[in-house]
Amino acid sequence: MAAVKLPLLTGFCGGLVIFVGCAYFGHHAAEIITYRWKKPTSFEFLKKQNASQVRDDLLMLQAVQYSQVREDTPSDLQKAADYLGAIRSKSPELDPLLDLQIATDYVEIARLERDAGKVISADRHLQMAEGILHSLGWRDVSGETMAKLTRKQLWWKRGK
Amino acid sequence: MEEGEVTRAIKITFVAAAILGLGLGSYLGYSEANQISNSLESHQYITPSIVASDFARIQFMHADTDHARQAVMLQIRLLEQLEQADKTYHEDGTLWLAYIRLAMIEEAAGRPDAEQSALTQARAIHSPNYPHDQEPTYDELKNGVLRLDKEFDNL
Repeated sequence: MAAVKLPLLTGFCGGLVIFVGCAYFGHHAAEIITYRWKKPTSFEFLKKQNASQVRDDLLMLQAVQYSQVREDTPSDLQKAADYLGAIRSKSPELDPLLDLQIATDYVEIARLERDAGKVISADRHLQMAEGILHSLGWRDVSGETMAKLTRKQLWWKRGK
Repeated sequence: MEEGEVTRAIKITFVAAAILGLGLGSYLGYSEANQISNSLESHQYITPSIVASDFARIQFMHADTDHARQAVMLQIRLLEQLEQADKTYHEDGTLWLAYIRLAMIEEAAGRPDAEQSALTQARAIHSPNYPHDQEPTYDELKNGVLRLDKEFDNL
């Protein structure tokens, strides 16, 4: 080490910087490790109880909830719909629930595209949503009824 | 004091500061994450049960009786399985609502036996909350569900 002038000041300031830096690093590292170890929202308890089907269903429902809080842009909503489409059929009983969320995403994409002047793409997404809603037994797939689907999500997102 | 000794003293100070910083930071990070994890764990079932409940409500309002029944049955199955699997979980009244909805669907489908069965289940869940003479009638229960759905719809 080079010759140290003012050793007391160097020791104190250097020690303080190292202390704060290490405390910051240790805090973050401990947080990450604790979350990974405890996995608080992955229903670990059910895994231990051999209720893996219930756990899988809950994880799917959680994925639906996460997709509801994504950014309100066509690309993000499309990603959310694609993801739900990909996990579809993992638990066939939940397919209608995923389908409803995919339809909701399409309705919102159509609204955003219409606002942006992309009428053809908006109509295409609206038709896809209509098709899904018909398959879910909907009696009325008017624009007004479909718009209500996205209202809750928008209400939540605006409150963020 | 010689220069070598000073350098060694500074090195020891730095190492001690690093150990103390890491220790304190790790302890605080663990405590915070543990507290938040416990809180998240106790609320982890809320999100999925809301999603299932929303799906049943929306299908009940807009779909034909077959699809509405399927959605409400899905919600009932999930909540009942969850209660069985984790005894710490107690549903917050949504199961009772689901059975009332099921009774209304069976009424619309013209299946009185299934309607009565669903209504009996709903009362079995609901009754402990009310003295016998204050139990709401079926019409009151139905109106309650419809009013609730309308409020959600107007959000």
